[in-house]
Amino acid sequence: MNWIEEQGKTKEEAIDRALRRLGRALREVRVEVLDENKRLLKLLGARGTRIRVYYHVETPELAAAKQIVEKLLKLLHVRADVVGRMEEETIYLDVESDSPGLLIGKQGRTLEALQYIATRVLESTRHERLRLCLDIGNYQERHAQQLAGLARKLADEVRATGKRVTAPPMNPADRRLFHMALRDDADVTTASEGEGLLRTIVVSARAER
Amino acid sequence: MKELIEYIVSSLVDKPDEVVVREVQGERTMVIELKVAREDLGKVIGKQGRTARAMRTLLNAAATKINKRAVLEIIE
Repeated sequence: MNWIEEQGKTKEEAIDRALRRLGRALREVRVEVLDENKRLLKLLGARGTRIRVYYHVETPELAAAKQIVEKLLKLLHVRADVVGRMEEETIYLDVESDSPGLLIGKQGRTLEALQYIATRVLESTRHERLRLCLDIGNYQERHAQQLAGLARKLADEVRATGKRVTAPPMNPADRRLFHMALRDDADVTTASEGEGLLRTIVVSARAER
Repeated sequence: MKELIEYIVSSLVDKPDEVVVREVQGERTMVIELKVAREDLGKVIGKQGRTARAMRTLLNAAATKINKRAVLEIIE
């Protein structure tokens, strides 16, 4: 991550200046206050605040992904602001829009479709395999927590009854989260079963050793 | 509606020049007809129809906004 330093009479002014210099929005950066309300020059100088602003460098993959999602949203007639970052091999994009409900859809289906199409378009324009994680107003994070909750509930059921339990059908991404949630559970194990849209996870007790 | 499908499909196929999208307006429903080169058919349908399904989902979201229903027909 890169950073720049800036100063101003107030913290807000310093932030404002830094953002203008970087051409970024506040939610794309992290601000650290170095000195608040200190004399900038030793004796006489006016009081002011010095800050350091951390920002992600936009990689070509990230720039391309942002452009594709912005274009898709425009074609869907949704006014939106897309910000993103790249961590390891994954591109994370966050969409803030005037119609989050429409973009998320029933059980997140529209969001899933949007992410899938954006990934396909991105891969075919850049000719490489890329992982794109699209989020709209923190939906994915809340959804991941819900899935982990369901996984723990089903694991408890297996513990109590000793019988195997089948979860409702899940897409590959959700199955991955579900598997991860119970990976370290000593009592139960998870396995995918079924084909296509009906593919899901079966939780069962670990075999006695 | 038409532009959305045009943009997605043209980005996915090998022969974007052969992409033809037509919009047929009904009272409640609009039909989007899509034609691509024979060898690109697999790309717009996707594994187990996932790409076509995702396009239909997006189309429905866009149509909901204007109180309509939209159907994507891929012509073979």
